[in-house]
Amino acid sequence: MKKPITMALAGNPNAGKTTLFNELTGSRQHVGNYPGITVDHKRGHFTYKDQKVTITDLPGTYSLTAYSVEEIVSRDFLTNNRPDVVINIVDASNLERNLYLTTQFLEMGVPLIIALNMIDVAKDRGITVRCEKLAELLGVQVVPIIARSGQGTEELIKQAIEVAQSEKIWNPKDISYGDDLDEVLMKIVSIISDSSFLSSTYPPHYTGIKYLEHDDQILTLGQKADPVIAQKLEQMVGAISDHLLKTMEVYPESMIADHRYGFIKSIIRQGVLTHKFDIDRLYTSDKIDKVLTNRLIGPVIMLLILFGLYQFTFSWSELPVSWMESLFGWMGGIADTTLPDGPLKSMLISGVIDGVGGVLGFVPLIMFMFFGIAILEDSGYLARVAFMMDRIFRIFGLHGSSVMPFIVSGGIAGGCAVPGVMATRTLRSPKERMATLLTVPFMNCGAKVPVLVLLIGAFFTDHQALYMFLFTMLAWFVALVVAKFLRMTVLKGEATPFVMELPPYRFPTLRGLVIHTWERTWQYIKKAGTVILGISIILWALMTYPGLPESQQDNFSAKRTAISQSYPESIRSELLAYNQETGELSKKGKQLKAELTIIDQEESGAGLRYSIAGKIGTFLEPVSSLAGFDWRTNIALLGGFAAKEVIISTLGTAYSMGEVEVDASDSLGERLVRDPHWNSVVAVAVLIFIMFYAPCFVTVVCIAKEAGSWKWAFFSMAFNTVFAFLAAFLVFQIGNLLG
Amino acid sequence: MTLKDLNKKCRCLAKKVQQCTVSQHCVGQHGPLSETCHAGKVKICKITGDRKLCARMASLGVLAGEEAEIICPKKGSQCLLKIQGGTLSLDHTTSSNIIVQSV
Amino acid sequence: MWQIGIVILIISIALFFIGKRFYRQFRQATDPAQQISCGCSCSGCGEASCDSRSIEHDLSKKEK
Repeated sequence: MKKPITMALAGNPNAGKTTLFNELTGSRQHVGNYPGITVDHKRGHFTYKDQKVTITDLPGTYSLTAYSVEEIVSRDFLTNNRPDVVINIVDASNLERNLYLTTQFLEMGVPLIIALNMIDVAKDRGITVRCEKLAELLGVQVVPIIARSGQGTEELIKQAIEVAQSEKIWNPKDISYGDDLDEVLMKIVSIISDSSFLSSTYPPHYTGIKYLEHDDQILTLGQKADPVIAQKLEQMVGAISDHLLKTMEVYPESMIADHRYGFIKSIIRQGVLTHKFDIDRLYTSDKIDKVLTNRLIGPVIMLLILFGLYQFTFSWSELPVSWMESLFGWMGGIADTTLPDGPLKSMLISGVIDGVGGVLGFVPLIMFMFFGIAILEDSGYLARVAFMMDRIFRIFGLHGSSVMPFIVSGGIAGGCAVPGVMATRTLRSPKERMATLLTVPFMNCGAKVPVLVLLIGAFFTDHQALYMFLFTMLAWFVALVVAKFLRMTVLKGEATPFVMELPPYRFPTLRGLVIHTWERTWQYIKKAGTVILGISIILWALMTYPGLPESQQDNFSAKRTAISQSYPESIRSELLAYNQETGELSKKGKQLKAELTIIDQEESGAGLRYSIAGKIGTFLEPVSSLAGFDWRTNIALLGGFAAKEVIISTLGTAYSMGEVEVDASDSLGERLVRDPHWNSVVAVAVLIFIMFYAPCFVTVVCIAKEAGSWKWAFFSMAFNTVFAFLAAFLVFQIGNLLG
Repeated sequence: MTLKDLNKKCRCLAKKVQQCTVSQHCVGQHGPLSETCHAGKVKICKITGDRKLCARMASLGVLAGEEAEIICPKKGSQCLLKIQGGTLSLDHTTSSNIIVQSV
Repeated sequence: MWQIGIVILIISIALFFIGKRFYRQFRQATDPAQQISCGCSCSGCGEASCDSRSIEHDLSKKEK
């Protein structure tokens, strides 16, 4: 076996790095048509003709300066890990902008190969790139590919392996930055070379450029490595900066960028790029933007699209969801008739089928919702949503970069707060980041959606999509108001500027949509079948044991005997025959059965109340009843801290164990509607509490990690729960007053 | 031809750019991008604001002397700017620091 | 009686499984050496390395 090769995938945001990464490694990393989806670097492995390759997908960056977290992550990886070859993915339809990063790789002197991606998109736009010419002028190999279809990827890997295995020494390329800067750079480089300043990490030429660019990270490193040399270099750079500012009103970094772009233009003008159409014409994407991001029509269209998404989800999933309900009802019925009475039967029916079944029953709905979101995401519309929301976010003290974490967390519905919390790393201002971090859990994540759907479906049957839309709007509104409150109190600070590149609209491929929808739906199913199943079983045990004391059991037995005794012998034997499925019930017989069922349910209700979970739920009831929650709901809400899906599974278990009129085929929604404790006001109060109370365990841990202290994680739990309870309390009390 | 020669060849372009950085070279109506309330082509005259912002803009290709197209003019708020082949979304703070001149 | 035995076994497995999962999550998140991720998200493991496989065949098929 040959020595394994390490490769890095680098390029501008949205150039197709993750698509290529998935294509090569066969993994299912999430790809979206909006920038900033990869904040960390991700590693994968593959084998090509006996050659083992480890490939790392770096976050998308425009440059290698320390302006953003993504840039620092990418640069640190390249300098610390020194991959054998860097595959620079360049979007052929946007060559100028993409080659800016390439010039910096050339300056850095890393082993490089260019993957010229999206040649099909470029062709549609009438752009032809002459790869050989580009390769000749840059001095690196250029391989045209279409990452989405996999075209050209084998050739790319073959050539990348050749580059990695070749003995070629990659020296930093010398680009002119203008006479003034070139002269200073030469002096700086000679000082750096003579003193081996930072030479273990960066080539001298590169360090020199970074000093001229006033790169914070390199300046700090320099100060630590050799304060005397660092001081000297800083003085030299300071002098030239002053000179440039006085004479040309520019900083050295702007001048350097200007010359890099000049360098790129000079290459492109040598016949690398040919345009079939007028260069200045607006592409279809820009024309669409003129309408969709219009100041007045844009937001209206956005709201209509959102409402349309819910309408589509609810109307299309109604039938399959009812099939799933009947399926689990049928399974419960089968278990009821075939299994002998005992704790195992109770666990299977109340814990597993009613618990996990309640969560799995929403799979069709989740699937339709993810499909709709995948369309919005793959087409590039979500990036426009971020653009339009930026203005609103600013009013509430948040940053434009906060929009994506909100959407990832479930801003449209069906996300997850954990990647949302992690996505806040793109925010540079610590205060804005913290405000985002603490408010993203308010969004309706994939686990809260089924709870919302269940309660909306049960209590507001006629306008499900409308209510879902309103509750989503409410989540945004509350998140923004809380953010504003935090920014005005504990997180006071200035706003920082927001600049984002919008990706062009792309027509989603069916394959992409299916993969996106399936990967998310599968994760939902997998979680229901593992974590939720485990928690449901534990909660079932907590809701079953220690069980009623014998004296109380005897009481119920005595009651049953008394009722039976009050009926004539013939009716009792009629019921016995009916239970053995050998006879029919008369009117009196039915009456006896009903009376006995009531006693059975009272016993199981008393058992539930006597259980560990029941005692906790009852203990909290005096407080929770102020907001309309009964003790059974309390158990579900406590369980929800482990994972929000557990709310549904626990309600399913609680209401199948202690229900007055049990019918195995009844859905949880129907049981809730019939329960005297529940009505539409209680439903809204519970919904509001569930939407805003403490985030789930995993999110809390993640907040602690990202915020760098447990203080914020506890703050988030306490603040959210108190806030949610107050909101639910108000809704319940006002709702009751209004009748 | 070496890369450096190539680069030198385009220096005339860089000079042209540098000339524009001095405001008197920007003749005609010019002002901050945030105040420009019509769609169409503009020429960037100068980037003001703090050093970080200038550097960030420069790395995105928003440089003095470049021509850009305003796709979505929003006076006093963010705007969409098509430059160097890409579409940038700029907020009010940023766009008020970009001095442009209509072409 | 046998039902109680099975139920106890299932509950123990569930406790062990959930406990292990949460403990791992907690440790991953509190490990200062682990800078990159804050553990597996609720939608599963985000590390690509969890899902690495060979593309040898895929590639050769595609090019044909």
